[in-house]
Amino acid sequence: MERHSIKAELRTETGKGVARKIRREDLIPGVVYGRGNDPRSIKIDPLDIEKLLHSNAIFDLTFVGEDGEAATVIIKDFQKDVIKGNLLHVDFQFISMDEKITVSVPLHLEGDALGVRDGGVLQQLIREIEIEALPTEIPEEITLDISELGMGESLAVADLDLPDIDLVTDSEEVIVTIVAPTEMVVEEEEEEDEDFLEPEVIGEEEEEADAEAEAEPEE
Amino acid sequence: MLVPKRVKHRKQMRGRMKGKAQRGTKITFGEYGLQALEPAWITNRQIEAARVALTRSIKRGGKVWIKIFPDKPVTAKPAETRMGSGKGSPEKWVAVVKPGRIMFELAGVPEEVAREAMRLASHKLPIKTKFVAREGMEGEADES
Repeated sequence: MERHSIKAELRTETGKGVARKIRREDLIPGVVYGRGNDPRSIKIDPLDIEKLLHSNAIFDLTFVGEDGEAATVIIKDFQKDVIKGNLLHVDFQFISMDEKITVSVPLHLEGDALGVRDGGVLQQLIREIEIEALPTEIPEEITLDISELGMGESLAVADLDLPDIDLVTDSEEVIVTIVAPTEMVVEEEEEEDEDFLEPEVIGEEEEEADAEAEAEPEE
Repeated sequence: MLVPKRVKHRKQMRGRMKGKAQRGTKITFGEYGLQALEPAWITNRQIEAARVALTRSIKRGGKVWIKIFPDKPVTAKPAETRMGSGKGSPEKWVAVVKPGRIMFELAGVPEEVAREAMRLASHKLPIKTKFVAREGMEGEADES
């Protein structure tokens, strides 16, 4: 796994006003935590990490102004603006190079499946696998060969050939399956224009039943 | 058309649509999605029209997910009625959609086909939308 050097400035102020001020300076707020250390609030340049968000990259984080103190960290979480897509906040986790960590590794499907050539549709149900490994042994991606996969067949996590990796994801979880294509059904135009479909109201039926039950003895 | 099976109350208050969507902003099932850029009430008819446009466009193969559900009843008074005498009767079902919400997802088709299908579906909706691809996949977002 690649190692990258980045710089972070420590900050003492927190809160949304401060966070917005930091973002106006083209930086983003962040936090570093883990391994029993006190969490530290930081601000960093988003351009340093933007392309490495999904990569499980290891960072040598230097705290500016603290005698060049450095720490080894990974990206634990991040937040993006839902519309613009720009980075809003990032969480780093302290790690030790000789201690196992749990990370998600992207799955890459290789080859053209037999079933797809026969007209089937490939459905990938999971795209990431959680593994436990030393930071130096984390693969960039896990490749799964699907070229032999026929119509109606599927591959599960147990089918991955990963002898040296501890899987955290359930081994029975299906990764990929090939299903028969759904034919487009020509639907008849439903005439429910004026009809407002009113569902059953919870509780109303019971009330009516109760009312009827009360009324009956009087008769 | 999508309609709730059971409800707790026949009529609801209108509510407000402030801010951006907090949930449902990521592509979870498919590879491509149609994201709302404006807040709106999307009726079950609009959802159905968009779904039909999507499935007709991709012809065969592929899979469509509808990620919004019209669970809010909207009432209306009959035409030429005097004001007063209570709230009107339920008229339609709507889904409350805020900017950022992924409304439809598609998988199992090439990007060009997905882009065209989403373009056609977006014409059935009353809001501006954006075509989005799953993070880590190629494909530029494009607005319509």
